[in-house]
Order: sequence, then structure tokens, then C-alpha cells
Amino acid sequence: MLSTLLNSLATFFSKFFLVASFLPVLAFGFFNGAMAYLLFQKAHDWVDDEIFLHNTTARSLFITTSLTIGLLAFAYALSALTNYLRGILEGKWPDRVRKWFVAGQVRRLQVMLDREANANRIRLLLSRQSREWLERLRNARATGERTPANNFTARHSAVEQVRAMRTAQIYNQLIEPSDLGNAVASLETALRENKASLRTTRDQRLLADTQQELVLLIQSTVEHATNEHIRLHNEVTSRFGSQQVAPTTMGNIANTIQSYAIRRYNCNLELFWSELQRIIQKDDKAYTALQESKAQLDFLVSCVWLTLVWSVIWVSVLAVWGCSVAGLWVIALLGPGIAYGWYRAATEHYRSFADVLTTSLDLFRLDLLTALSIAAPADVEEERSAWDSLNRLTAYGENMNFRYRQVKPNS
Amino acid sequence: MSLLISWAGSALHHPMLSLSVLVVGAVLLAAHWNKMWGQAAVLALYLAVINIAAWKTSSRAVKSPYTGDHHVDYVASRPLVKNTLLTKAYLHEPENLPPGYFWSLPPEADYEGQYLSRDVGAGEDIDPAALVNKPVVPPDARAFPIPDGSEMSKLLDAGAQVQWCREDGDCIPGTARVEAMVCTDSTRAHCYILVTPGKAIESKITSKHQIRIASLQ
Repeated sequence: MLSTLLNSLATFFSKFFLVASFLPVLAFGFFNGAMAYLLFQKAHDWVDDEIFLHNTTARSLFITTSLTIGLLAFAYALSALTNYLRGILEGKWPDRVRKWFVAGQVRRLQVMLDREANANRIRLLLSRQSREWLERLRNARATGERTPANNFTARHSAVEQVRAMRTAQIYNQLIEPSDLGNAVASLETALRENKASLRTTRDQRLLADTQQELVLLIQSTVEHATNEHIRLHNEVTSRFGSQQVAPTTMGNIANTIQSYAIRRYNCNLELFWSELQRIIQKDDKAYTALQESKAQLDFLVSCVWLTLVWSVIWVSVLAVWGCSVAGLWVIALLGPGIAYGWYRAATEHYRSFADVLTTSLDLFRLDLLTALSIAAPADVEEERSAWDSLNRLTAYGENMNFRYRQVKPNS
Repeated sequence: MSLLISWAGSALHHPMLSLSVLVVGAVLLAAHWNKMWGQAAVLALYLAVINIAAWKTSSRAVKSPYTGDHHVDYVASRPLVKNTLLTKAYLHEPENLPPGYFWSLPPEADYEGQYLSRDVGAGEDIDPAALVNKPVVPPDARAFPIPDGSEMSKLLDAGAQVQWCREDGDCIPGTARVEAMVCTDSTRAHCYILVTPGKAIESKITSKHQIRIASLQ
């Protein structure tokens, strides 16, 4: 019965509405019903009487239809509120409240920027010095080859330094250039004073092996630092925008979309988003991908709020009428815990949604200019200038002039 | 500091309160390092509210007669005299039953067809220990059949008053108390009443007399 009803609903409502709003509301209704069934005899008896015991087709149809219509109306109201509810999760709060929460996000950003700066510092230092180090080691070896003996031992400081750096690398730590420099200096002295090609004893073989290991360590550290810098930079740009820091993680991820548009094209995306959407609609696959990503985000946002409402309802019920302290604590900890889980999932999904949005901007921005009858820019600079002028004209009403692209009648 | 807060929490002799105090302490320390004052304040406020709610719930549980051993009885929907033949209509869920405790109520079927061994006032607990399989009636009680399918069997029970009348409306003066009602099944389709009419009435009862309800129990 319910599946027939849901199938017919799918023809009236878009599948995105059903996924983003109706499904969470259906689950919300079910879990509230389950709690009422478990806790209150009147609800228990009503469910038993109406659904399980005296189930007749007409009665069942009436109850199912009434419940579904009620849930649909609730879902419709929820879908209308989705932007507002998402805005709250994005930290669109009064300034008095914001200031208490922003500091934590600023701290997070600082930590990430420090780590990125550190990786960049190591990358730059290594890219400058690695070639020189390798050259010094090569020259020292050539000098050492002219000496008659190889008195290198495992107790040499270079061996210990290389071993310590190798351990650090295994634990995924970035090796400091100063440590590499010290190891290079120690080994350089040893290579200059010993004939590395004399490889009779274990200690003698260790000199050339240590040199080889240090060379590999220098090369892999350069690669590691470069990768780490790129990863951390991506992490920072996908988690924080260039605008004012928002008080929540989700708010900062939301900021990245506008930041990308400004950074890459000098385009005020918020201003042209509606027009861009109309352009994207012409490409079925791109529009569907965008809608699906948005529906998934809205689904997660709805789940956050409905889980919170569920826990508020049942914590209140148990606090007012209940006698089970354990039950109260279970609901009081479980509800917000699950809601936080939904929130974390929503923030992670927001990153992929932001990726879909920025990709759409990359692909359809020139079509948008064409739709606005503005000639396609010749290069990057011209495009940045065009978006800036459009922004100044549209947002601030400044006197900007554009020559419209003349469309030929047969084109 | 953490240990001090933990000790203060344990001193309160309430495990969840101690844990909450410990969590708030840890969060405040974390907030001190990460500057997450807003988040720490929200968590501390939430835990404070829940602790107050838990404390209220706990004191309510202490006062509730049901929370000790989860022993819950039905209460009488109206005054029930000794020997009343119990039906679902006489059983009510207690009004102040905490949420979820109705699962501890015994099945109603355990009560149906049983007799009360003592009087129970309206709203009083019907103790299962006060239920017996058969009524205890005076030795001189007599059984009178109630016509099959008569509504009278659904209205009558121990404590009611009956009288004997003929079809023309002529009744024997005086009434008799119903000591108990005996039925063959829970539908009360075939029932007898056990009454002690007294010699004055009993001597006047003829085959032309029928039982009528004088007053309900």
C-alpha cells in the first residue's frame, strides 16, 4: 500500500524533493512513532488497533493516506526551510554569538596555514640545496677515492643521523633541511677521508651504502615536501575561503565556492548564480549531477535538524514524565551524537558539492557571458576584467560600458 | 586540574554527574588551548540542563511506587466488591504510570474470569495475589440461571441487588444481594448468579418469576 502511494508520489514530486525532504521526514515520523509505541500505552494500543489487529483495506488506506499527506506537508515545509536551516549550520548567526565560535575556526586555520607554510619552507629550501648537497657528496667521494684506506665505522655520526631521518620518514614526518644538511656535512667529511670503493669489511661497505641512502633520502624528502605542500594547500583552500572566517566548519567550506570564483575569474558568483543555473540546465547531465549533489546535501542537513528535534522531543518527554535516568542519558547523548555525525557527513559532502559548483563555473562561465550577449574574452586577463566590470555594473551600478556581441540572424 | 575536577565530580556520588563534570573540565581545558569557547559553553550548558533533568527524573523515580522492582498492577475502574468476576472493563492502567512501564503490566487475560478475594476501591491496585479461581459464597447461596444472551449478564456482578417479578409486573417484595456470578466463558453468554434471597423471598419464587435488576453493584 505504502509503496504504491510512494510510487504515485514520485510522479507528482521531483525525486530530489523525495530524497532531500520526504525521506528524512518519513524516517523522523517512523522513529517518533516507534518511541511513542514503546513508551506510551495509548499510542501502543492505537497502533495495535489501527494497524496490526483490526486492519481492513479501507481503514488502512485512510490511515496510510492521512499519515502520508501529513508527512508530505511537513516535508514540503522543511524543503522551504532548507536554505535557512543550512544557513544556521553555516554559521549565519548574530555577531554577538559568532564571536564566541569564530576563534576556534581561526585557530584551526592558523594550524593548517602553519603546517602548509612549514611544508613550503622545507620544499623551497630543499629545492635550492638538494642539488648542491648531491654535488658535494659526489665531489667528496671523488676526493676520497684518492686516499689509500677506508676506516669508516658504524659508529660514525652520519650513520646515526641517516638512521634517525629514515625512521622519521617511516612515520610520515617531514625531515628538516637542517638535519639533512648536518648529515650531508658529516658524510662529506667521511667520504673525503675514506676510499668508499674499498668494500672488504661490513663497516667499509657502510660508507657507500650510507651515501646511497642519504641521496635517496634527499630526493624522497623533496618529493614528500612538494606533495605535502600541495595536499595542505588543497586542504586549506577546500576548507577555508578567503573571506571573513565563519564560525562553523560548514560555513568555511561554503565560503570556498565564492573564493574560488574570485580567485580564478574575479567573478562574483553569488551575483550570477541564478543566471549560471539557467545555463547549466541546458546540459542535462551537468544539471542532474548538480541537483543530485544538492539533494544529498539537503538530505544530510535535514537529517541533522530532524535528529536534533527528535532528541529534544524525547529528552523533554523523559525529563517531564519519565522515571528512567539511564533512558534519559541514552537519548540525551545518542541524539546529539548522531546529529553531530550527520553534520560531519554534511560538511564532508559540502566539499564535494563545492567541487561540483566550481566545476560548473569552469565549464559554463563562457556560455553565461555569451547568454548575456557579451563577447567571449580573448585571454585570462580580459576575462577577469570582464567579470569585474560586470560585477561593478550589476552590484554597485557603476557606469561600465560593454559592447554587445552581435548575433547573426542565421547563426 | 583535571584530577581535581574528577575528584569533585566523584564526591557528588552520581556517576553521570561526575562524568559530566569531568567532560566539561576536559572541554574547558581543550577550549583553553584551541580557543573553542563557544563550543565549550554550549556543551557545558547542555550537560548542565541534562544533569538537572536527570536529577529531577531521579527524584521522581524515588517517589514513584513502580520504579523499584518494575512491579505494576492494574487499578480498579470502579469500586469492586469481593467475588466480582473480573473483565477487561474493570481494569485500568494507573494514571501516573511512567513512560514505558506499561510493558510491565501483566496480560489482561490473566485477570479475566478470576474472582476478587476482597473488596477493592475505585483507583486502587488490583493485586494479582487477591485473585482466586472461584468465588467464596455463603453455604445457603442458590444459583439462578440468567437467560442466554441476556444483556443482564453483562451488567450484573457481585454486590448487585436483584428481585423476582412476573411478566405482568407483579414483583415479590424485597431484594436479594448477588454474591457472585458464574459464567461458562469470558463472553458471559451462559451465566448463573449466586444469591442468598432469604426465606421470605425464596418461598414465594415460582417458575413464573423472572430475575430483574433492582440496583447495580
